[in-house]
Amino acid sequence: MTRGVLVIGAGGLSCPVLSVLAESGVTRVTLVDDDRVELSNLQRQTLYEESDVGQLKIAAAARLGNVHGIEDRFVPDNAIALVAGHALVIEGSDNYATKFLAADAARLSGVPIVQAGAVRFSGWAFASDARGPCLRCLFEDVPAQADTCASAGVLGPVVGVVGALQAALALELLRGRGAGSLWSYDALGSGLRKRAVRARNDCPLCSGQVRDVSEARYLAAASC
Amino acid sequence: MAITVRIPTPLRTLTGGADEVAIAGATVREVIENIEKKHPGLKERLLDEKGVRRFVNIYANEEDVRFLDGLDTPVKDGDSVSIVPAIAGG
Repeated sequence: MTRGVLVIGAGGLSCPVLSVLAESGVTRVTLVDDDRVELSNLQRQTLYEESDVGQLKIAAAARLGNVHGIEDRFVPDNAIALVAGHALVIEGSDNYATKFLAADAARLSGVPIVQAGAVRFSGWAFASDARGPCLRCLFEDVPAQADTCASAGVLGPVVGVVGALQAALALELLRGRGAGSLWSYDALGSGLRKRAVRARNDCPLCSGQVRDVSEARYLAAASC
Repeated sequence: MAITVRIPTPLRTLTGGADEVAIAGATVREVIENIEKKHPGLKERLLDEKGVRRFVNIYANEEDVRFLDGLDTPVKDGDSVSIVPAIAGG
């Protein structure tokens, strides 16, 4: 693979993703994040150690050897430029605004994307190629308010399971397979389930209504 | 026999912690109306004035009801209805 993989966010989901990519021959990973390691991260963000507390997560993740860190947030002003030149985007951010921005930027750039979310005891993962159903086919738009892991907490093993699933989907997508299914994981009840996602005729992204990543599209949900 | 409704973890505070509840109904709409009688507050979390909320997906036997007959999708004893909301954290 000549083009690399862009990973958005260096939190609980991305830790297993980055570990798997490092062990799977993905030689160039761009990691965008501006957070520093906190003690409260360590129960679920398995790349970091107590000695990393206070350090940039991208610096700690660079120990993997294939990671080039960019200290920044993935925002409308830099989204398209960050996606450009990558073979795949893997989004593990902690807020809806970034999730929809990543979905839009990836589709507008013709780049496949794997996305996931996890709060408390459950999570989901979804892979989209450059043509099939996208995040807006699945969840349409940014909710006005919702729980995030920062406000509601997340069980460590949940991000481990969902992040590993996201990594598996990423490797499948790099081989041109695995798009179009929603995986959901419930640690307390139904376990892991897979459901087909269909493209909505009225999807604003697939139908071409979304033509740019202007900031106003992503203002409904607060960033965290 | 009844319809098995799978409740996602964010909504289990409304079902006393239950991850599945058995509810009668001939359509998805009836199931939601009947679950509201038993567990008040759920309907508002699933529906708005336009129908299914945009960041919630409802599946009848693992098929998105938006691609069936929406809330009028028929269900029968032994079927399942699953609620899958968007989750943002990571």
